[in-house]
Amino acid sequence: MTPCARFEMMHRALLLLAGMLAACMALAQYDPVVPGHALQFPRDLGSHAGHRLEWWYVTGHLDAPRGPIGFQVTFFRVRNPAAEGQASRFAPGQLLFAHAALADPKLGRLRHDERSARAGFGLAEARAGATDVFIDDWSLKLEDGAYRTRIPAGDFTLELAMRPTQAPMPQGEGGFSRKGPGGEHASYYYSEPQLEVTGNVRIESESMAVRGVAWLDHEWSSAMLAKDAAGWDWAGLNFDDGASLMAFRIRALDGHTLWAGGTYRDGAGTARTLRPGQVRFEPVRTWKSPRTGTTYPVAMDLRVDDRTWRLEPLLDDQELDARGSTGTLYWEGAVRASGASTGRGYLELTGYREKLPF
Amino acid sequence: MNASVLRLVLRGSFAGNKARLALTVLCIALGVALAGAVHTLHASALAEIERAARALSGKADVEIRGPRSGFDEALYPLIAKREEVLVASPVVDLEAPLANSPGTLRVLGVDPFRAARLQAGYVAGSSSANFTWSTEGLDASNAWLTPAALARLGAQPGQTIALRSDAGDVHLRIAGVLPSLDAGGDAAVVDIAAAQERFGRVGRLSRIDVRLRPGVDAAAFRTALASVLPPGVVASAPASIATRAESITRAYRVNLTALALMALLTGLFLVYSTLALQAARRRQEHALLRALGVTGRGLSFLIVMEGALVGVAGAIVGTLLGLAASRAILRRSGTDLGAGYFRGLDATFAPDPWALGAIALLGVAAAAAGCGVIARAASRLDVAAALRDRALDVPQQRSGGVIAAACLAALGAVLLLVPPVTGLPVGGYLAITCWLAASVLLVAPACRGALQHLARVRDPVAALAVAQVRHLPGHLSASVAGIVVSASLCVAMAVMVHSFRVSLDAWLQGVIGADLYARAAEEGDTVRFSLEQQGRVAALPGIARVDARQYDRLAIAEGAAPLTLVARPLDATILRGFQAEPAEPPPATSEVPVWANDAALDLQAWRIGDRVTIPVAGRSIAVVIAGRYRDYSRTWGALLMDLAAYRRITGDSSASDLAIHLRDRSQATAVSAAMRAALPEMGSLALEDGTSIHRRSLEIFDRTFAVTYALEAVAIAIALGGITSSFAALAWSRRREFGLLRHLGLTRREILRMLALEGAATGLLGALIGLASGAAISLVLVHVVNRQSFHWGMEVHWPLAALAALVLALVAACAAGASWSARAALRDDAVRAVRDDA
Repeated sequence: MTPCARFEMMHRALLLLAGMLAACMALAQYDPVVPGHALQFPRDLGSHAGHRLEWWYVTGHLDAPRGPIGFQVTFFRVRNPAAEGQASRFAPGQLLFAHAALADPKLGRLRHDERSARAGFGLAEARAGATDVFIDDWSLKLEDGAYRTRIPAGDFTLELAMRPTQAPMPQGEGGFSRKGPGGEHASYYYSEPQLEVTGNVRIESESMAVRGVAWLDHEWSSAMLAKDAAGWDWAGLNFDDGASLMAFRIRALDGHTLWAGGTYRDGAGTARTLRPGQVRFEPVRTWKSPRTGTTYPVAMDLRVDDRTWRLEPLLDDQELDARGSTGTLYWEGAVRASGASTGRGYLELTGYREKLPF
Repeated sequence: MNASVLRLVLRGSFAGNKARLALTVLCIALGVALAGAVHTLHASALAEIERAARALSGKADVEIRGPRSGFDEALYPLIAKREEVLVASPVVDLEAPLANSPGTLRVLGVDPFRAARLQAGYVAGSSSANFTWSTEGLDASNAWLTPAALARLGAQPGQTIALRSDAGDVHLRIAGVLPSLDAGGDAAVVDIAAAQERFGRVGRLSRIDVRLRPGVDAAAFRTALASVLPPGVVASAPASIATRAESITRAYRVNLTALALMALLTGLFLVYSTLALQAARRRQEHALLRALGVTGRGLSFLIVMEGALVGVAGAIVGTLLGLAASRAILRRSGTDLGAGYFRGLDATFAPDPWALGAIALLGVAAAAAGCGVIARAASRLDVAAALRDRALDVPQQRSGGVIAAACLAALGAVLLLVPPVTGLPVGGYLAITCWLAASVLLVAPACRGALQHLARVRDPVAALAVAQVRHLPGHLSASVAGIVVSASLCVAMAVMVHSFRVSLDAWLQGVIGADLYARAAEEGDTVRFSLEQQGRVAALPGIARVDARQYDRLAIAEGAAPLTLVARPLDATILRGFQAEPAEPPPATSEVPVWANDAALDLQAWRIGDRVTIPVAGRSIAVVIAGRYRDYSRTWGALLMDLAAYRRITGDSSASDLAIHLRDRSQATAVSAAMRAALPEMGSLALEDGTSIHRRSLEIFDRTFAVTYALEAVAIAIALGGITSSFAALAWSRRREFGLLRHLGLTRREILRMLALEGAATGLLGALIGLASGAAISLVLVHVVNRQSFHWGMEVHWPLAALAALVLALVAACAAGASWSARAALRDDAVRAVRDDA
């Protein structure tokens, strides 16, 4: 499973479909997600238009002259079968959403911005066969051996090149990632951990060169979520020793864990898929948002078998309140890991205010 | 002179003649009210248009729009990808007929993702915690209504509305309301794909709203775009929508304002004659004041003060009246003013205090000016003579009037040659003012001349009347001047309106050649006859011929009024019907021949024979202006093109209208029924026979000029009222004379007859001079004012019967007014009246 912000964005995407879900299912057969379907590169780097949902999700830490900064760049693709088969080139058969946030300790909270568009006219597209997705001047593209993103947002601009230093990391069973006990909720999912970042960040009028480390998730699915899920916790960590860890759990309404999973890959490239019993999230410290009154467990102990990492946020207030535009409210934050090993990554916490409406 | 003396004197002067004073105030008030109401209505309408444009285009800096038929959507990515562009929001804007009730609904097809970045109001429910918009926002069966549209349709969210379209009726579920678009007027917002798909507009856009990046100069961007935009697509600042509306209505508004100023001018003369008569009556009083130490200057001040007070009263009453009237009109029928410019626009009452203040001041100034002349005469009063003298006459102007009048008339003639200033016939209006002034100046010499040549009459009563008139030439001049001003304005307007109506009637006769007219929809632009449907109609029995017509609105330049292209089969007969010159198609040329209406020739500065290019269907088409034609149905440019050429150029074979010639005219009803049966899918089909169109066009004309008719009637009524009261004032001061005449043996009836004759003579003189100057002014109105402001060419037609009736009415009213007003004076005991004198 993937980050909670993406969960929230997915929430939006699912809402989009909620009203016409039954009709859609009758109208269009989404491409299924089945086990034993090996990922193929470069084909699977690109868009899978037949699936219902898809995202490319980048999170990372940057070292800037002004201190450490966290960043998040996400592109979502949603298929809308109701609009398929229309003659108009504006027919919203494929929708794209992008979201960017900057965790700036100097500001004490997130800077964020977003873009939405229907695919088409060469203005917003998610290409097949290669990572190449854009909405107007916001883009993410794998080119010359690096993921390149350009995000000219309101009060910040990101211009980053993220070079893979390791092979892609398929999640779950060779890229088939279960989201629940049954086989019906699952996705295709791989990560690109340990991306070496160089580039430029503008914050307001200040432009600066940055270096850092990032994590990319690419996930696509047609049926992802169990109905009784209230929210998600997710973490993606790049350790200083070259190892990487992705861990998630799906919480029920009463807070108990419905499902969990993850992958740990050591610096030598040996990956271990984690089953539900092997992953535990334990809140250490909570932070209550002064704006929304929501309480988030912003510091966690993450246990994988007998190893424990303490996750501490870069800053407490990494709440993203996009209810005014997208109706989503969640915490998506840059964290530092210590304990079993040291590293940097992102923690995502959703569904802490109310049950998600789907 | 201290204030209490001033108050006393003013009270004395106003106490004497309440009815006349009231009329004078009313006349000033009418002018002020009319000008104020016209201005307020127009300002409210423009404010509304501006607000609506702002509400719908939000933060857009530039608006790219094409002809009515739209433009290729391929332009959209080209614009959106430009460096300078922050957001480009494509719009399909159409007017769809309602399926279940008369009228249309504006449908805006937008991409909410784009539109919301210019105007967040396009996304419903964006402020709620649930992102409801995206759940349903892209559903092609949903529409969001502005509160105004919801109110007009009397609909509720959740209900379905049905609209007409080529592709059949479009049913849209009202998914919600867009409260932030309230100011945008009456509209339904749908997804752009739904608009294209369901209203037959696939591949076409109406508009692209553009927001530029910070620091980009909008004007420079528009210039840079010029080379990118296909022919017929222009980029303009969103504000120019309001500017365009303003320029379209300006001529009409200026005309109404001119009418208001003429009412003020009439008021000025009424003030003048009222106070002049009073001044004559109060010569002794003035002389006494002078004798008591009031200086000449002080006396002038006093008199001007009187006039100004009348003006202030008139201005206050007029301003309130104007505000009340414009408010009532806004509430009842919108900002339309009867001319249909702002049809359907629901404006908020937005008076402009500065303009209203200026108009009120103008009213006060008119009244004060009316007194200025009298004040000058009074200040030069020979005190000793005036104290003794009992003469009642009005101070007469010095000689030289004829020369001044001739100079003014000549100046007016020169002014006629002045070209329009920013589209307004300023020269024409100034010429009218000059000629009006000239005719007023001519009144005194004309009166003198008339009196000299008045034949000796045998009838003693008539002789008495003549003697009386001769005795008071100043009074005669003042009364006649009042009649001249209002009569000439009435005559001029009557001749102009009549000429227009007769020309229109003749034009309609020529233009309406077919027996039956079919329109795909009464209003709106979403339904048209396909070629196949046209064929179905043509194949019906009883139909001799079907002529298809198609229209497009071409955008020529930024901010310019659009040019209408009328495509229809053209032959010599039809061209003659349109009064085209020449009415023959030119010998074959490589260019397409088109006929331009007067407005197109004036506004585009084209001449017959010019070879020009016009943007049709996204291409520049070379045409030759083969001739001019008359088009009273459009106040701005229009071109007539042969349908075959239009179809060759555009590849569009559909038609908005069909003109149907029947084999047998009496079968119109049967054929109409057969047509409806043959076109069952066209629910919006509107059929009308030629006679009914003709009648309806004239009805529209009459409604448009209803304001003018009403004002004319009021001007005449006020002038007559003023004259009656001036006679009444005179009669009151002539009690001694009447008493003497009674004493000498004249009957009451004979005295009344004498007064009636005096009145009739005054009325006749005024009417004749008014007729002459009105006729001259009407020529200016027809050939200069109308031509320059509305670009309508027409011939002068004299409404002889109406003019004769006007003269007769004036004479009769003056006679009746004069004798009626004297009755009170005559009720007095004759003996007592004479004793009064002792």
